[in-house]
Amino acid sequence: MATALDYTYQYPFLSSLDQTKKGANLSLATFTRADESPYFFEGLMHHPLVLADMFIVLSDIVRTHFFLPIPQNALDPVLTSSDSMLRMEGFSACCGVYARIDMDHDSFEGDIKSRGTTNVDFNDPMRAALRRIRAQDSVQFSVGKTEVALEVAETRVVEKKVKLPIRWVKGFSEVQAFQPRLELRYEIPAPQALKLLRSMPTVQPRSPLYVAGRSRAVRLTHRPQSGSVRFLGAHRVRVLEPLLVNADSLRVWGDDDTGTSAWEVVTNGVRFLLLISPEVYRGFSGEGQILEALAGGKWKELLSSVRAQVNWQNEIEAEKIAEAVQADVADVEAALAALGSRGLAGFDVNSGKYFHRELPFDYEQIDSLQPRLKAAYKLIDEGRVKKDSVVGDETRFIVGGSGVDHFVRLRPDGDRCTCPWYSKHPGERGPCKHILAAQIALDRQSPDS
Amino acid sequence: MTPEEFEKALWQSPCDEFVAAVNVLAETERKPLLKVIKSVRKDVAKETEEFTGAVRIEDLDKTQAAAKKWQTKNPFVEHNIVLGVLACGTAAEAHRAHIWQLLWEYRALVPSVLIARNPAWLDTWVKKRLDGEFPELDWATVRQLLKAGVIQKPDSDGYMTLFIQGMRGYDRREKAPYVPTSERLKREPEYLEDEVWRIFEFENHALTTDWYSRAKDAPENYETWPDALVRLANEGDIDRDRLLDVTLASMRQEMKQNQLAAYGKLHEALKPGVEEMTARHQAYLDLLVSPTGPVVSFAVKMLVKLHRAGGLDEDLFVGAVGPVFSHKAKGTAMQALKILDKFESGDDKSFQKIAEVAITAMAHQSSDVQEFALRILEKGFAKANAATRESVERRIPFLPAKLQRKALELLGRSEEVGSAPQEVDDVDIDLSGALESLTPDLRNLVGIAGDAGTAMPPVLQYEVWNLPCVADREKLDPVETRDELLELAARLLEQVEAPDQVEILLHGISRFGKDRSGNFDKLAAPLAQRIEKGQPSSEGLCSGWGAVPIAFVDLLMTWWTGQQYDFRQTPYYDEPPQAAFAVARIREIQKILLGASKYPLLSLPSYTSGWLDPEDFAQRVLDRDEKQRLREYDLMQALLRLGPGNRQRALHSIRDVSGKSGRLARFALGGDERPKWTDRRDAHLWHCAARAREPEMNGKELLGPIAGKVPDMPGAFVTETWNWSVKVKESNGYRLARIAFDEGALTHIDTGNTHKRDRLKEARRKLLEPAWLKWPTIGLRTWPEQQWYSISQFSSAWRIHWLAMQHPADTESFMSVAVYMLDIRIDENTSRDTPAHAFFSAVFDPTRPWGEVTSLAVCLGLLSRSSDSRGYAIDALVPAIESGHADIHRIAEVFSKLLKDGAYKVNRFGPAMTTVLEASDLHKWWVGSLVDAIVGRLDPLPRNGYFLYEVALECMLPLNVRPSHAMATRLKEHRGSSKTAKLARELLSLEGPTIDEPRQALVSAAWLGRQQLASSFQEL
Repeated sequence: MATALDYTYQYPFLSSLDQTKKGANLSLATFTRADESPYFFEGLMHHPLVLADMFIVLSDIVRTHFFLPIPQNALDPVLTSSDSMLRMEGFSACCGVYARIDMDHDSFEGDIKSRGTTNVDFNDPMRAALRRIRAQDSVQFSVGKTEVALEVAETRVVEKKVKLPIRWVKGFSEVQAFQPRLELRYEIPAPQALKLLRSMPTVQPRSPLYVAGRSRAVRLTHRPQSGSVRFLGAHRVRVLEPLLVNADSLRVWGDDDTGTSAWEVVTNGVRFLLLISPEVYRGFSGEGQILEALAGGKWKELLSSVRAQVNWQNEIEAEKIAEAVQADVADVEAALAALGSRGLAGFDVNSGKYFHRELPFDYEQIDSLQPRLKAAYKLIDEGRVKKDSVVGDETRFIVGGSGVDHFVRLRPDGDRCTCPWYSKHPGERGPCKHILAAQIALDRQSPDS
Repeated sequence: MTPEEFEKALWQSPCDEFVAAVNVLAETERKPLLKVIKSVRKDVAKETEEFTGAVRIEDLDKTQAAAKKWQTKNPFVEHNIVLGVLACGTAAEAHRAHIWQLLWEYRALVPSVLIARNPAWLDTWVKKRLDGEFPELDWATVRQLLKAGVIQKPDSDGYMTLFIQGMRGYDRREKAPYVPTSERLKREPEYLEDEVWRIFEFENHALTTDWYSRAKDAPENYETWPDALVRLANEGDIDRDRLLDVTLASMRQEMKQNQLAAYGKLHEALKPGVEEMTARHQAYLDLLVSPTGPVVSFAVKMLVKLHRAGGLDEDLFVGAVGPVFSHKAKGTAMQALKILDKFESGDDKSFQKIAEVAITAMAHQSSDVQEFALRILEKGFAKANAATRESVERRIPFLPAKLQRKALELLGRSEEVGSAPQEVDDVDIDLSGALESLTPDLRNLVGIAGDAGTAMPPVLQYEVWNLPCVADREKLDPVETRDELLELAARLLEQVEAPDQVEILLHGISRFGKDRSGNFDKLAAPLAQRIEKGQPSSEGLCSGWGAVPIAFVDLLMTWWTGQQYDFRQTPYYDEPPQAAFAVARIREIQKILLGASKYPLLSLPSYTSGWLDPEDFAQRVLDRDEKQRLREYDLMQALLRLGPGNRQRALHSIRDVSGKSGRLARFALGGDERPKWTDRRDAHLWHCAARAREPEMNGKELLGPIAGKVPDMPGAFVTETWNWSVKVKESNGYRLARIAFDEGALTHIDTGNTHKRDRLKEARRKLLEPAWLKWPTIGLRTWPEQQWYSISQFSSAWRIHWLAMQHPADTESFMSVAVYMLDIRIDENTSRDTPAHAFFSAVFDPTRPWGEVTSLAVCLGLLSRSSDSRGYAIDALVPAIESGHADIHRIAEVFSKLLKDGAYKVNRFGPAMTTVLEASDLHKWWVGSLVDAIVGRLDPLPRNGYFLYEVALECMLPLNVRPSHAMATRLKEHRGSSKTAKLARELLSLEGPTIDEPRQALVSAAWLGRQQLASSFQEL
């Protein structure tokens, strides 16, 4: 199976930070899958140093593989312009770190010209120029250019050919499944947060670390405590260090069930969210959190009607959509999660709501990007899934494995399997292929299907 | 040449003769000969089959001899085949030819073959040979092909790699005299136009460290690539200006740090003059925004030179230097500030610009940089406008306490300095009310018997068996069903997260072992297959070295198959004495499985902390079927786990239980039962019972007539005071410090100066094995001399955690193992295979008091290089300060022994203690008092004492206290202007009460900690 897609960014011009007599001018070039260069925003940055630092950190993350010292594709971040916000997202090359900058309207003086999602060009000279921005500078910021949008056909296009890893694209959909589960555990003032990050070991410890303590005296521990947030790979969190110098606070979010944590630098109407995977060597792409949703069938009926209701909202109200499409809120939320898995919605942990955006990649083949799901269908097609018995509310299956039959029990309190994958990650990384196959088989047998 | 003649040549002709004969053939004559080559290749493969495939180890000598004989008889054929394919083969055949199989001397024939033939595919063939990770061709071959004009110059990095290697000109295999690189390039000047400049376009080894230059056999006139380029530039063979520019331009690329640093070194090696540097002024400034530390460091260094030469534009520098402070390197930041410090701030506007840079530097990680930045601000702060003042104010919380004071003074807010404690924690609960909930005995036990919070509580001293119960009472529940047990086993096969799960598994197997009804085979078969296929997971129950995983494999497979399973594979590493008893327990349960009945274990801990509640134990003794054979290892383990409290009730409940188990249990629980002479064969059981009755049993009186049966070895009876010292060895200029326990604390097995396992096993068999098994408390204090042996044993953190549950009442013996492991790894990074940090699991149990050895282990952890060991030691110390387990004076005594004469590294003290003091004001006071006590004890004071004094300042400043009189007296010994002396004077300048007169809020916080400890010992 191919692990990467050939992808070509075609920008009408190179993003740049130019010095003019009136100040600096940061102009980001845009490009969408429909070969368009949309014009989203033009205005004045209120906190240019803060934003410049955030752009640099985001760009660094996108270029970094956090466990292999190998040169990476220079993949570009994705920018979404919605009702009242600009958001810029990216993924590390190892797919274990997701980063997003949320820029409230208050952080700019200017208007959002249009709505949509686009790739934005981040090139080396612009990155270098961003490092020179100072707090007192006056910086004009634009995303796309009006004249370019009109004259794209005549403009000389800047092409960047990259290998777009499938894991990278999948990661974007997986993280949307993690974010709704996060709980805010700490909001640490920036000076203490900086101390915390600087106390993180530079040589990676073998065991997990925890953020624990009282808000004024938060510290790192090696042992879980009540309310602590677990994480692995301190070097992945330390990337936030330059942002804390000019920040208000650091919010730390955790999810004990999955081991995922989020770290959000908050400052002056701008937030930088960093979501890190449960382990350094595990990217989000293989976590399988959306597999059960994809294997089940309920969301499918609602998907198209829910999709018709989203229109670049910054906060999607599930209740309103439920009312409009005359469905249960829970089913609408499941459909929104499915939209998230297709790159059509992102989740904002602060508002606790989805927002509309359409990633500029081809998500039509999402099902085929899930090897575990494919393996489950293959087991069914090969006739290796056999119903064994039903005992009470437990349905038992015998599913063929490698040289041995696995015993799968589908139970209301959680499904079970005898395979090593299940033993190692009981439910944490989504169902194994044997449980998925049994679920699909059971679903096919039900009178509704 | 006929096919027959060609075949004969292939087999017999020396390679050079073969090539000479083939080279004269026309292309049309060559094609038919390919068939002959293929046929001979098949014959060769057939003849060599017996010694080229997989060979059984016992047949190795035989096949090697056969191979040698064949090669002696046919020295050329394999090489001729490769050369023949190049001479006669198609493009596809030539691409498949293994050039690397040719001996060095025959590779030299390749260009001759290719030049003579000049096939159309040659360019592609060369390109493919160069594109791999390691080029298959050498420079000589490519160079000859280029010179002959049969190929175009390749544009690949592989070509350049060959060029760099080839022109380096030093090869041990070459017999010709060495010619320096610059000389070679002068002889072939065509390379000076293109190749020399392409060196700067990709990552390569030309400019990074050249190990040949340090080789013993390197020629005296050996020249590295940088040497060569400098010489060529200085002698006018290449453009010096271009070389200076290209080194700077190259540093803007995204490459590895060492590569970018090498460009900078070459630039410096060219020793640019003032004019040359001035011409590149902007280029140096541009490099300040580099994300790579060494590049920024280089740029600052060049700007310093330019500044000294008077060529630096101050405005440009001030505008560009900000990003330097985002790098961690202290030296670079200080250099940049030194330049800034020399600038005249002149008017207000230029001061604000300088101030902006200094304020940026105030966020640097190094306090020296921050302090320097404040000094720069001080010089012209009168000119500071409101924005600058506000920016300074915003930075104050980012500064350490000592600099916060200076920053406040700068802002003219000195009245806020020293007026009141800045952040003493509020003790907002009713301490008196909380104390009332405790019994007088309990208050007395934890040292808070007097009036509430009048003075710091005394040192915490209690005996475990005087406690009403253990502190951590998280219940350990056995599994309820057999299927749950199988699920637990499946999970543990992949990963053991907690050792109590292992105990639940052992208990479950012993209890359900015989039950194979229902789905048992469906559930067990896939699990058995995992073991049969190999080690299932690196962190699982059956993974790692030693006898423990093998014992688990045998136990699980016996359970799942119903047959005795004996893995039989001898472990390469033997189990350490500490784990031998655990292995014996597993083997005992395996025997239970093979026997006729179920056997609920006596030893399952009641709590996750490893303690067995006396009432639970008594109930199990009552429930035991007297007809069943008593399992000795299980009983011994149960006795060693017996916790405090409830003993009288437990004793009463088993007053009528007859037999050995009843007598032993009554004795262990403090009853009147005593061993008799007839019990001498069970002396090991009575010994465990005696240790359960009085964990710190100090004498043999309890065992009466059978006391003589107990080996007179450390660990049998607790008589030691754990005296220890630091021994420093000096060897080859290195100082190596090691902890040495005095005679009588540990048993050392002298295995001789050898790694031979047979000698080790012999020592074990003859001398100590029985002791390890029958007297587990002795095993815990037994160490072999060879470090290699012992390090390898504790290869999984969970196994160490599990061992910590073996004898919870004797933490000191267990932590003596920790001391050994932490000490030998003190300068090592964290390792998954030797997780020394795992020993701290014993210290996290508040029931266990801290003795000398525990304190020593924690101090070693704090001084450890391993972030895990240091982190766990901090995690142990922080709650121990609150509860009173950590005794300032004992720990100060330990540190003063460790730090004396620089035996252990004082520089690691600061970062560890800084984390501890951040926890609360009580912790600040405790750490400050610790440093105060250490300084009082250290003689002589260390020259790098600033590591201690910085910590002391961070504690004392926020609390508004000053050093004790004893410490102040010692601090006055410092003279001069060293950093240590300056900090000593800063400490002496502090005001307020001395640290040994803590404020009421701190006393209350300490009392509250003791009250919470006492509450944890209260029965529900």
